Formats: sequence, C-alpha cells, structure tokens
Amino acid sequence: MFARLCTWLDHRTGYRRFLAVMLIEHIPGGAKWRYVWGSCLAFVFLVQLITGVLLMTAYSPGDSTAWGSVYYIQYQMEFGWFIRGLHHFGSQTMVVLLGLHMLQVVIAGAHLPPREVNWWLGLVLLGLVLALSLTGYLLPWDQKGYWATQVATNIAGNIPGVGQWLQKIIVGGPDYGHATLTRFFALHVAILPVLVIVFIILHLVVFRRHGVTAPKKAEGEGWFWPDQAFRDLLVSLLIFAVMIGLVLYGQGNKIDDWKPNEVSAYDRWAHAGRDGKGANLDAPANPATDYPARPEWYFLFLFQLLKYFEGSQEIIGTVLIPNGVLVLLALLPLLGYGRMRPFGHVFGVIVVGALLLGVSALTFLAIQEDRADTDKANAYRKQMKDADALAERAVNAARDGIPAEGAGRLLARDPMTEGRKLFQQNCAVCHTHGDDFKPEKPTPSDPKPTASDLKGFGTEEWIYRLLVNPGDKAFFGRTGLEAMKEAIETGFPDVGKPPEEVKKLGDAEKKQREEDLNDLKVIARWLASHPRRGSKDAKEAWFKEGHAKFRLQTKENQAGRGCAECHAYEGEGGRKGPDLTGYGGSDWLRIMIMAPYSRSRYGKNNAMPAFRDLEGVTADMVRMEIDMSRQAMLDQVKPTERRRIDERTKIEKAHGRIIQLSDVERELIIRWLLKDDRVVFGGQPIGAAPRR
Amino acid sequence: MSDTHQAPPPPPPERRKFLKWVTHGLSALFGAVLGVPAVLYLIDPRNRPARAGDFKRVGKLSELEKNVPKQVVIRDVRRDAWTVHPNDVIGRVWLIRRDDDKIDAFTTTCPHLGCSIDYNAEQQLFVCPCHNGTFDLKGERQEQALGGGTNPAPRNMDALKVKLDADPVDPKGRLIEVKYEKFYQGEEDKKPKK
Repeated sequence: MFARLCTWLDHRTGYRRFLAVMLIEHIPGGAKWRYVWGSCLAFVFLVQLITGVLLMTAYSPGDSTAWGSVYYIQYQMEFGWFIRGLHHFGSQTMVVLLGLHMLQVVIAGAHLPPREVNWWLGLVLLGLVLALSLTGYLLPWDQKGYWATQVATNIAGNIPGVGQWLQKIIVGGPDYGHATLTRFFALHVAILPVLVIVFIILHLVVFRRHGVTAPKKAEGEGWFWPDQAFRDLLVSLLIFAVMIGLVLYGQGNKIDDWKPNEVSAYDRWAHAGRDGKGANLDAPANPATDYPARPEWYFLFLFQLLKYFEGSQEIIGTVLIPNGVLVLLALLPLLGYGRMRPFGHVFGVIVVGALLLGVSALTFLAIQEDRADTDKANAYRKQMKDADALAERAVNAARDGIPAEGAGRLLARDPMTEGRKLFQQNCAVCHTHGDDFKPEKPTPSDPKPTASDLKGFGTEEWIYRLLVNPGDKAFFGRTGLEAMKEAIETGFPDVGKPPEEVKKLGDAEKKQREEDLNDLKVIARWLASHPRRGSKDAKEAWFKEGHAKFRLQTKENQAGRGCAECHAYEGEGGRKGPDLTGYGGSDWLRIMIMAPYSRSRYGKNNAMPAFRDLEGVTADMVRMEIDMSRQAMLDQVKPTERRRIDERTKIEKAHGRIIQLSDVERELIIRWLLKDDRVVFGGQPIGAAPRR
Repeated sequence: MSDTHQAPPPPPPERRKFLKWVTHGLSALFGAVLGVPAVLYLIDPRNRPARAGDFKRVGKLSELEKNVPKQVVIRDVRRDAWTVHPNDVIGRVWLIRRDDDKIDAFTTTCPHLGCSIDYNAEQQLFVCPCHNGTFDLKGERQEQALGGGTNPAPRNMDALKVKLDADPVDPKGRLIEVKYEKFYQGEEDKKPKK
C-alpha cells in the first residue's frame, strides 16, 4: 500500500529522481570518517534553525521586553531552558566545527584548484556564522551581551572614514536601544540565516561538481547513501550528545525557592532551568553600571589581540590583522597552480594550522590574564563576582513578574540590592546594621554611630532585646534618650542584669525576674506582629494577652504592665513615647522616616532628620507641612512654662534637618529593613506584584 | 579527477540495507530528542490558566440611577507572560440598578464574537456594534437584531455576580463589587474561560 502511494506520488512529482540526485553521490576511494565535518556543520546549523524558530515564538525584541522574554523562556516555559540551551551551545559548537572543517579541508588539499571557488564560498560562510554569533549574543539584552556588543560596534566605529557612519547604521541610532535590538534581531533571524542557507546550497552544488578530495592511495568505491550518510549522522549525533551534555551541565543561575525534589519528575525536567540547567542569563542590561566586558570565548582571541596595540595603532589589531588574515586565507588556493601545487598544499596547512594555533594561544593568554594573581585580574574577578550576584538576584526578583517599564527596573527597584545601598548612603551615617557597613579598617575620622542598630528591626527577637536592655548601645544607648531605660529599670528592675548579678538575687527576686522576662516576651511578640486593631492576628489569644500586658494595670486589667503610660496604641495611651500602633511595620516606619518629629513618633525628643521628597512637584507642600507641624508644637509651649526657651529650642531642633529621599527610595529602604524582597513597582512606591 | 565523476558507476548494492535502517533509526532518535521537548515547549500555554474571577470594587451604589445602565471598569493585577501590571483595566461591565439594593451586572463582551456591547439609550437596548447582537435592558437576547435581520448572539448577555458591601468611609453608603469573569463566545451555554 505504502509503496503504491509512493509510486503515485513519484509519478506526479518525480521525487525519486530528486532523492537519487541528492543521495546517490559517488565517493571515489570510499566513504571516510574524515569527510564528516561539513555534514556535521550542516547538522548543527539545522539544530540552530529549529531551536532558533522555536525561540522566536517566545522572544520579544525591545529594550523593555527582551530580557523578560528570555527570562520567561529560561525559567517559566516548559523545556525553554533546553531549547535555549541547545541554541546557545550550538552556536559555540558551530565555531569549533568550522575550525575542524577548515583544517580537514586544507590537509586534504581540497582548497586547491579546481576547488578555489568552494574555498571562497566557505570563507563567506565562516564570516556569516561569526556574524550570527555576534548578533545573537546581544538579543537577551543582558549585561554580558550588551557590553560585549558595545565593544564590537565601537570597533566598527573606529574604522577610519566610514566607521562612525557605519556604527550608527548598525546600532540604529546614536545609542543602544530598541532599534539596535530590532536590527540585530532582523539580521540574526532573517538576513543572515537566509544568506547562510543560500551559501550552503552553493557550497554543496560546487562541491558536487568536483566531489570529495580522495587521498591518492585510496582504493574502493563508496556512495554517499548510506555509507557516508551513516558516518555523517553518527558523528553528528555524538556532537549533539555533547551539546546536550553541556546544556545539562548548565551555566544558569538557580531559583532560590525551587525545590526540584518536591515536584513531579516531569516538572523537574520541564523546569530544570530553575535548577541552573541550560544557558546563562546575566542581569538585565544596565548602561549605568560598570561591567567588565568580555566577549564570548570564541572572540576572546580578538580581545587579546587588541591588547597589543595602543592608541592610533589599535586599528591594526581590530581591523587590519583580522582582515589581513582573511585575505591571506582567500589567496591560499591560488598557490595551487602548476608546479606550485605541492608547496601550496603544505603552505595552506601551515597557514591554517598557525592560524588555529595562534587563535588558541591568544584565547589561552586572555583566559590566563584574567586568572592571574594580579591587581587587574583580581579586580576583574571581584567585578565579575558582583555581576554574577546581581544576575542571580535578577532572575530571582523576576519570580513574581517584571514591571512593564522593563527588566532594568527589577534591580533598580530591588530592595535587597538597591535598598541596602540606599540604607548605607542615608541611614548608616547614624545607625548601624550589625557589622554590615563597618569600615574594614576604621580610622579615627570615621563618624561614630549615634543611633540604634537596626539589624533585625521590628522582629520579635530585636524588640525583646530592646525591652530587656533599652540602654544598650544597640538601642537607646547612643542617643541620650533615657526614658525607656528608666521605665524598664523601674517596672522590671532585674531583667537587664548580667548573669553574675542574677546569681546573687534572692529566690523571690529571681522568680519575679522570670515573670518579668516572660511578660516582656509576650509584649515583644505582640509588638512584632505590627499590632493593629483590625489585623488578622487581633483575634488570637497571644495578641490579646500582649495587648493586655501593654496596657495600664487596672482593676479590669490586672495583667497590665503599664507601657501605655507613655505609649499609645490605637488612640489610647500616653504620648511621651512613640505611638506603637502597627509598630515595626512598613506603615509605622514610613511615618518614622518622613516625620520623626511628629507627636506620634519622637516629638521634641527627635534627633533624626526627616527624609522627604524635596525634588518632586510636592516639595513646597512638604516644607509647608513641616513648618505647620513645628508651629503647632511651638504654640503648645505655654508662655508661663519655666523652661520655655529650652522647650522651643528642642522643638526647633527636632524639626531641624530635611534630607532628600524620593518615595521609591524610601520604600526600598523600608523593604530592605523588613526583609521584604518584593520589587517596588512602577509609579506606585508601595506597589508590588502579588506573590505567585 | 572531475572527469571520473562524470560517468557514474552502478548503483549501490542491496547489502547496505542494514546501514540504511540504522541511519533511519538514528534520524528518528534525533527527531525524538529534539522533537518531544520542542512540542512541549510550543504547547506551554496550556499551563497558563485564565484568571480566576474575584470580587472587585467598581463604584458606589449612590452613583447609580434606577434602570439606567452605567458602564464601569474592572481594575486588577494583569499578568501578561513575564510582565505584571499591578493595577490595570482588565475589563468593563454594565451595571443596572433595578431596585434599592438590587444590582445587575453584565460583562460588555458580546457572547457572539467578543466585541464590546454599547447601550442605545433611545431604544433602551444593548447593541453590539460589530454584528448588531441585540439585548434588552434585562440583558436578554432579542429575536430581531436592531435594524432588522436575525440576532447573531447565541445567548443572553453574560451576567456577573454582584455583591454590596459597607463603605468604610461613609456609614450610609454602600459599595458595589462585581465578580469579573470571561466566558467562551459563540456557544448557547455560558461557560467560564479556562
């Protein structure tokens, strides 16, 4: 039945004849393993075409979308990591195979007459494949691709005469942006592949005209189908296996909360990108950062070559030598005419051998220089390590989604990296955060911290330590504020005593101390929940207990420990100390940062500057409000008060400094302090993507 | 040497059958190793469910006149593959107040082919501008389309669940919440999109 169908089809299309032309190729001297390289190249190119089209179904070229779409392929789509990994390592495989193919050709003397034209076609293909690699490297729009390609296009810009014009045409404008990506994309997925296909066809047609270059002593007869085809395919599949091995080995960054052991075997494979398999995706392109740009490894030799030429001579390394080598390669077949042939053959082997050796040596040197124990290499490795950390953070921060403004915002609005930096700049002048920002070698001129240590701020453990020992330098010790210390010493006399003094206490005192500590623990837990009347926790027993202990001791509330004497909660309580409604949460912190002088925070005892947005359109409003607040507090000082002048000075001082801090910057600091790693979204400073 | 190539020797002998089968087998192996992940990758959207409906606040009860349809927007988080829009318009709804506290809500999406249904105040009819799908104030499908011809809409306008809630700011006021859902078009039965 099948045979009859085939015959029917053959009558209408003549496909058998076509297949015969394609497959029944006579190989004088028989099929040989050494002939496989050309077919292997075609095979890997086929893999690149298939994986490339697959990637194209999900990739989105654009300054604000490219990185996000590649992230999506790598970490969200099933087997995206596999397809992308094959494409990535496939491009490197092509480059290696090109070298092998070229070497095999010159060793066989297959570049010599009458096969000159095919050698030249091959050189064109070499250039096209390298151009494909270069254009593809930029497409993820990550740091690595962005900076490496900057270097490449700047080299084009340095060509005398047309360079600057040429660079602008390639880049699509004066700077990198949307147009760079769309142009590189069009080159990478349409123009260059079509050219490669056309030249491969030409390469094959011309190859068929002269056939393989059999060794002189070769005996026997062979056919492409199936003798040579089998060999070609077997080696191609071995190469494919190596590519898969590289993909499975993986260069990617892992997703922190991905637990491959807790999902099904299918999901484990479908999403193995989250386990670091497949190709690497660096942090989103960011023109505002330093990046130690290195090209992909197969261009490292050019990078190294550049180092030997300085200033105006640079053009020798970037343009003259590489193009000179290409010209030399193109001239090789011309040495094969007449009696020159034996010499031309040997010379060709020497040139290509020397070229491959030279490229390997330069590549080796480039790698060695970055691995050496020199200041430069150490600095490079440090930068690389920082960059890798950012890349890892970026793919993890993208988990809940990427802002529409683009992936660049992921890190620019990431509390864990940017919030930390902002804390260091704005807060670490007075506050400490464990040993985080301690200078490595302190000098006497370093400013001394004057406020609390905020590491763990708002957590139960931190609050408990504060309650037990408010006078510690981690809390009020550096500030000169003593009310809290006195209150604890009065109400909970022995809680802060060191162990050796505790030993000396009587049994009753020890028991009382235990009870006090327990009460403080209960209060700390309550405070650490950022207590609010309507919160979810408010119905819990421990919450009610904490609140009861916080309040004054009365007939109805025997458990009360009197915090409310100075502190308010939901409108009830004293006003000497800060209002503790929602204490330690982001809402509480926001007022603390923006209006520490307000009566719901430290009032006239405040020594902290207010951090406000003084550059935005509401700056005048901000100043006016602060003035109003100061005036209102000054008006409350009664003219009859004895220390009127002192009081007024204190209030003025508490309102003293205002420091510029944008709304988004403030939220980044708050989130970092509270270990909330959600990226701050868009124009809404307190917005974020909901957790997946 | 090219001359020897001009006259082709006899075709390859049959004993190479085994080699041919092995070659075919290897090709099939390659096809599977690349093909299976490729297909799974292409059908990845099967893992992206439609958003689950959720009650969203759309306005105040006091803003609605009785029996006068009013169009409101639904805002919510919108996920688009890798991008998240934390607060975006995800759909529109027609609200009609029937009584003091009885509100009907219809999605503006036409059950025919998904155009956005308008309200014709003169005729007091909902009319889809694309193919004249016509519905009365109750959202019920009319036999005749406005302007003649049969009504292409396969079913009534898609009603959405409505809830009234206390207004935390205004003790007398009530807030309208709508559970926004999308439904498959072109079918007689209303089925939520998956």
